[in-house]
Amino acid sequence: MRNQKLTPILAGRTVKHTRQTGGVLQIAFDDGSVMKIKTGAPFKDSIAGKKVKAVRQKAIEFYLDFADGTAAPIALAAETASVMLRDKAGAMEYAD
Amino acid sequence: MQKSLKLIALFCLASVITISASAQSVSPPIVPDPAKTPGDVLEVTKSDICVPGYSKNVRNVPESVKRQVYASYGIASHQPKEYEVDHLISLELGGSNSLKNLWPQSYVTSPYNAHKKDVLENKLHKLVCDGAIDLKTAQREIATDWIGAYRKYVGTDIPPLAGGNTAPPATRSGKIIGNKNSKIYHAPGCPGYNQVSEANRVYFGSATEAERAGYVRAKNCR
Repeated sequence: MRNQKLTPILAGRTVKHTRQTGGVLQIAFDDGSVMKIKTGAPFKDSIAGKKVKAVRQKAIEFYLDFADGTAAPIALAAETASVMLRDKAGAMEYAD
Repeated sequence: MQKSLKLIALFCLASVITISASAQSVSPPIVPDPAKTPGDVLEVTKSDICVPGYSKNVRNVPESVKRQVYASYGIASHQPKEYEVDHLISLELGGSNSLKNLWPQSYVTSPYNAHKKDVLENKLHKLVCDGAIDLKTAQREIATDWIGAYRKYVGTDIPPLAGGNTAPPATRSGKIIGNKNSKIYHAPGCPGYNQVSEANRVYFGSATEAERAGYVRAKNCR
């Protein structure tokens, strides 16, 4: 359930802002990294300012767990090939 | 009571035979079915894929997805080390983990198998990173005809696939091909042997095996 590859990368980063454009959700973090997620349903939660604690995934259900104890569920477009994270310099950090 | 036990035993035996027959009837694909596996890529560039360790960062095919791949190709069961779930456009060439980019490739068929394709993947990755060919070209060539790409970039130690026939040569020369729609079978050397579409093919080890399964020998195959 816990995404063992993405959790150690994202843990400690704080969400700066999000933007949903069509079927793609962009989450920008305070360190300048950006995660692009192909979504199966629009994401409307307000998560700016929240610090990531862990990432969980079960098939197309993707969750960002935050340090404040809340979680943001995100519906993925597909079980794989939906999430990509690049660092501030644009280098690939993670893709599923 | 004894009669019931006999019936149960007979049912179990019939199930085993049926499962065994269906498992044997699926021939390993030599090239992917383009309708199921057209290929799919990530939004990456040459500068992404040419970084050491790139593939490790993006490799992620859960068991549930692997099961879907085998099921979509009709492979109900297989032996350890018999297949790999291959990325048609390899990860090192920017391929994705999408179902559209995955297919079961045999390790054991000859001369076309996963080991040969791995050689091609490494060669294309090197050519792209050396600037000898562009990434899009490499992705397109491996997605549309990996055997042709192998012969073009690696070597001609494997023959081209004749007439687009995707059955492995060992199967073409050594097994019976049945048509699951017409229930007619063709032996090697018969006129209709290579005419049965891949989608309708069922393979048998011998004519006797085909006839036991209810297939009739083609009239032009005597």
